[in-house]
Amino acid sequence: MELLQGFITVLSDPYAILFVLLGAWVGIIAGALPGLTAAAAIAMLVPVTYYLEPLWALIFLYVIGKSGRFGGSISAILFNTPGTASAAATQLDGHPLARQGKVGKAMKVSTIASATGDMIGELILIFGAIHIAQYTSKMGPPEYFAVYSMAFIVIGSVIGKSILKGLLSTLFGILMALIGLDPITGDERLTFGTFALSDGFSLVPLLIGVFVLSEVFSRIEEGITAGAGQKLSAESKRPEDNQLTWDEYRLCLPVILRSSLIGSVIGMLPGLGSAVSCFVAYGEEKRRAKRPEKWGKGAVEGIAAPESANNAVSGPSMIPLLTLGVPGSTIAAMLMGVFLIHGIQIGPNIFVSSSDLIYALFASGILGILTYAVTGYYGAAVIGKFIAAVPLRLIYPVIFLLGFIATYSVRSSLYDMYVMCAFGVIGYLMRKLEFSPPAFIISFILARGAEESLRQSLLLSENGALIFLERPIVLLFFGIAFTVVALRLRTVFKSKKINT
Amino acid sequence: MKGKYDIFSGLVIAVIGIVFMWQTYLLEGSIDEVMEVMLLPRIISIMLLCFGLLLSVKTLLSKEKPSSSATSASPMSPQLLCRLGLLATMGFAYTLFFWLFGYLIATIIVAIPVFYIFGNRGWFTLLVLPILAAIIIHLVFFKTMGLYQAPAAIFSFF
Repeated sequence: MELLQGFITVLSDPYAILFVLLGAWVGIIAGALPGLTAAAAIAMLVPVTYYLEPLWALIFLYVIGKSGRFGGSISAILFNTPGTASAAATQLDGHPLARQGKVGKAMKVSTIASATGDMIGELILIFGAIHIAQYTSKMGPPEYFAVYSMAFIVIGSVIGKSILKGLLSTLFGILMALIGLDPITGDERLTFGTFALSDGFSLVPLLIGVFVLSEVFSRIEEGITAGAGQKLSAESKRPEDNQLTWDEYRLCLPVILRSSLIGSVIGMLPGLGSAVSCFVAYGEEKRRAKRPEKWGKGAVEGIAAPESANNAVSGPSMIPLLTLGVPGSTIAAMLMGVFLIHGIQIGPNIFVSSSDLIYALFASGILGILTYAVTGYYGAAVIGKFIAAVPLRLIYPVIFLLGFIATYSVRSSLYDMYVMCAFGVIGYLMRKLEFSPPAFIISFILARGAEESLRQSLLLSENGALIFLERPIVLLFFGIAFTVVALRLRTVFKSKKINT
Repeated sequence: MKGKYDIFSGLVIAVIGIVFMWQTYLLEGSIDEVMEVMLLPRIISIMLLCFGLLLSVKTLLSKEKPSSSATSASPMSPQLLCRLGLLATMGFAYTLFFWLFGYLIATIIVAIPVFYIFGNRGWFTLLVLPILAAIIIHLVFFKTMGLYQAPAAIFSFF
């Protein structure tokens, strides 16, 4: 019933519909541009959304996150360069199929798989979140601190190649968030006596620096300066090469359904995200395939599996955000920032305090999926040709300049622009040295909430820190965290053994 | 080579941990007040110090050969370093010029070398496009969205 009300809210508001459409198209293009990513586009557009109504802002950015994941498959298939990390598995079969002249077929499989996976994930979000929220609304400060700690440990140890570097990135993010005035006593801390640091770091300059500016630096290193545009594979004129046959639909359907479930489960766990889900789904489906030797050479199932999994992450990654206040992905972390900027308190009570907004957001998610599905099905090849025609050496300088003005638009502050530059350099160094910028950003966002719950817990407690050992839910979350780390360590040791 | 970078970055992180730890001892007040404010910063600083040292020591003791596909920490050519350094400098310079001359002039001054760094060479892409980009962004952000621009320190068009 509330979902129906959500649809009515969105469909009766022309601006809401406009932002669904804009979000879908901006997301596709941002995802399709190699290196730009939906996360970077959202980082740059967050300040723009300050001038919008909360619902429009959230719709716009939420739909960008969805369509951006699909957009990454366009450059993966056409240029053998994934537009986003989540499309890295798509290129394994997508580009070989495109090289056979079957560009249309590859794009249609990708579109159908993405939209189906995203829809399944969205339905899990819509019908699952409210039930989980009923349990999480009974949690107190110790349980919340345990959730935050679990998120830090899981995100730090799972994102990236190195557990130690992931944890260091997480710790660094927490430390940066603690700079400034103490939220309770007002004392200055970690400011080195400088007035500028007493205000701490604002989220948007950090986001733009770490995701956008560092990406621009990386593009220089990857040789964007040479050449113009990208080369496209020649498209076959035969209709059967640009359409899916009934047999291919039947082949892909169980793959899409299974991979969507894989993506949804992975999406619910903080920190894992689309980049993990696409490879897990690809590996699993290849293992189950009747003819695995065809994979990697243009198998349609090899496109369907990763695309449905990476898009199925989108909805469920919002579940920990809406029910616990802990974002399940980088994009969810940015949306958390938008909620807070517009004064909307997230957590289990959001289904009570902002029910209209949440169900309108869910409805817009479904409409966004339909929009990018139609656009992708009929227009993906055209988008690819457009991107190939525009030299990236023109786009990236504009992105560089836009980053500055987007940062300035937050508080009209030159200090924020300096912060953005500094974190652009830091973000680039983190990428080069294989630390984890997403872990850094997510922990930066969560740190203040974690500290607040820690201090509230210690105030409540009669036995100091022992309060964390007295509550079974707390122990459960810590147990999950250490189990994840143990499994990850086991994987690392196993692969080291195989290598030696 | 990758190992050297890891050892160095571990040490840098350890130093950051020490510096921030020192900062946590500068707050004056009763023990309870200081502990309340500085509890988490101290814990995090100590963990940074320990994990930073662990990274350096682990890399030092590691007998693994660096992977041949590990190019992300590979050395960069002097030209590339120069380009990156120039771009980073342009970023800081842009902010300074913004304060001195306002958005439009600062953007035009900085956009031309930035377009050049990205490999654009024709007179159209080096002169016309940067000015066009600056004007369009100005119209969108300052005129349409109404973004406030403080008066420049020296001179500005608007």
